[in-house]
Amino acid sequence: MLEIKDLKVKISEVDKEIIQGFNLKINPGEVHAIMGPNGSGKSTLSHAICGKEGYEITGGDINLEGNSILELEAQDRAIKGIFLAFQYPLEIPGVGNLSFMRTALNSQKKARQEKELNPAEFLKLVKNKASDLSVDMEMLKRPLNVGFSGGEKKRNEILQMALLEPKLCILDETDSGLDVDAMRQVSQGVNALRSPNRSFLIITHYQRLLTHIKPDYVHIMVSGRIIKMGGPDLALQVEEKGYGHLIANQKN
Amino acid sequence: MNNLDNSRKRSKWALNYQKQCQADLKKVGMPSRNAEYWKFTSPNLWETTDLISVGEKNFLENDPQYIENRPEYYVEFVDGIIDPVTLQNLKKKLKECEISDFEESVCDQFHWANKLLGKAETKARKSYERPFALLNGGKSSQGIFLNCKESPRKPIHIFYSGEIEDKVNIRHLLKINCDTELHIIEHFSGNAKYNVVTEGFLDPNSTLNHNRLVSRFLKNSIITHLFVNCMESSVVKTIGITLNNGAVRNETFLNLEGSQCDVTLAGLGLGCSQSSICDNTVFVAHLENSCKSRQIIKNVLTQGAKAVFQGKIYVDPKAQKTDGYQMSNGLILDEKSNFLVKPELEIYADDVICSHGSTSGSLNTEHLFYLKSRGISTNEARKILVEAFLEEVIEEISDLEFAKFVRKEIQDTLI
Repeated sequence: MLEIKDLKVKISEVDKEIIQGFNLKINPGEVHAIMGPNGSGKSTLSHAICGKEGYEITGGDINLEGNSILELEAQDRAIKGIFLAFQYPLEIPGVGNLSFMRTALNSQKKARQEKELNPAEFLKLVKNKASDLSVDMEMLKRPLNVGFSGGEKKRNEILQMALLEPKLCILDETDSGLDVDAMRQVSQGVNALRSPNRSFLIITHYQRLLTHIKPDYVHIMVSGRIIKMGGPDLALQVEEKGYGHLIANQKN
Repeated sequence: MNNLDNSRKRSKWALNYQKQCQADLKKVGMPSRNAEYWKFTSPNLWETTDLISVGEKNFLENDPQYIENRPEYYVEFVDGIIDPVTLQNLKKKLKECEISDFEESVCDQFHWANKLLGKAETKARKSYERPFALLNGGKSSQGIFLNCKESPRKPIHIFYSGEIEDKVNIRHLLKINCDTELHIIEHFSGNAKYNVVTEGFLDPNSTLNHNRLVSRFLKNSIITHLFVNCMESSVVKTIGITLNNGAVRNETFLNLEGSQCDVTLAGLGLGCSQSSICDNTVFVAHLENSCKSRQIIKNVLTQGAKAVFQGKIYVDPKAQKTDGYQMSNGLILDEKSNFLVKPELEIYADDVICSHGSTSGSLNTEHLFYLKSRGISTNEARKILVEAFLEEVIEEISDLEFAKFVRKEIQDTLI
């Protein structure tokens, strides 16, 4: 599904290489977690995969289903099936939540030459998906993320993911700002979307999200590179001993 | 019909006003770029030549399509001349208001307007001279005078249509009696160079709701003046939507003569060409205590367009507990466009809340990325964000049908 080969990424503004030779392969249906301390380059990685401007790829390649996506703009990567659930979903006053979601879905359908949904068809679809995530009509009618609580914002992200049905879902610290109940609800939403054809890349600081969403592989990222890879147990090890222990081992 | 014939029939009060305007204009002169409120836009854009001569008009009254597309209450000025059929229909339908056209009004010695014509304008001239309004006062022979005695159930629309490109002077007078509400919606879609002056007189506890839409098809220059005198507890909400490619200057003067008035002025400008100029020059005079005023200006500028906002809040020593607010935002989409802002506060009372702010910037790149990351094209994402930026003003429009129409017009302008 996703293959990242020797990726090097620089943030144009500060002229600093944040990702330094990063490798990762995710097969269809797999769930990979990337854990790491602050400043290890996790969010930079997610932005680089999604094609955010201001991130310069200085080396390596990112392939989706065998094809390089480096030349594609963010919207074209989304159309190819990449979805990023934002760490801090943006509040955009004046943009209706519902009309934003319909525009997004229809933009993707149009690009894939599929039939677009009219407002009635879309409303039926969204109501169906929203009820599973406890997103009510009132939330859908409000401006995009404006005045939403932390939990509401994250549930709204997962709702978009459910509507757009991407091939690769990247969750950037989706657990940040969530209480225990909200985390359970969001995780249930994510688990419901797991399928043999859909892959997940979960970026998190903490092990707790991974008790709800069981990963197949856990990677530890430090200073823009993966220093250790393992199964779900590795996350438990981090929880117990911290990143310092792993970094020290790496140095030795 | 020409100016000379009209003046013969006019009542003394109207003739006096007309002569006074002409004399004052002679004294004051037309503005130059040195005048304080003409530094950002050239007065030459709104040139000063004679009123059009009027020939035979085709008012399209037999065209059912034309009637069908118009709302229930409306009058139409075709090439600057009132369509008599629309006026008669409005008079028949609208029993809540006493309506007469300009000539009818000024020829009636005892007309209710005889003590009002020019009075709000005179007050506005105390802030600074309004030569274009004087020009209008000296030349106008068209307009409607409306005395609102009960609240009409629906807005009254005024259409300015037509093909000719001459200069046109139109004068309206609105009197809104106690406890009534009047909603006026003006649509500019004709080719003429308009100079429109509207005076409003609000009795205690009355409301004027006013919207003005300048269509995206217009290339010629338009200057409007809205002078409103507010008695206690009256409410004004005036919203201007400017989408055209020519020069538009809206001068607004809100005179809060009674206490506890609540006034809102909102302006939306979408300039998409080098010839596009949207100038909102506003003066709100707080003369009594406990009044509230809000000014919200939003301009989107691209392709070398220009927008100007000159907004002043004046607070008299008597106007304690004033709550004044002014905010102007420019969304500038290229390096060729300009947003020129001159906010002013002049406060002589000590117990007031007055705030003002102004921002200019380009589209938020984080917002753009969020939309694009969902598969929305760059162009579509920009459009969504521009519409969102303008939405704050559109939300102020109380007539939902008109708000919907404005949203559609904006979408069509952005294509």
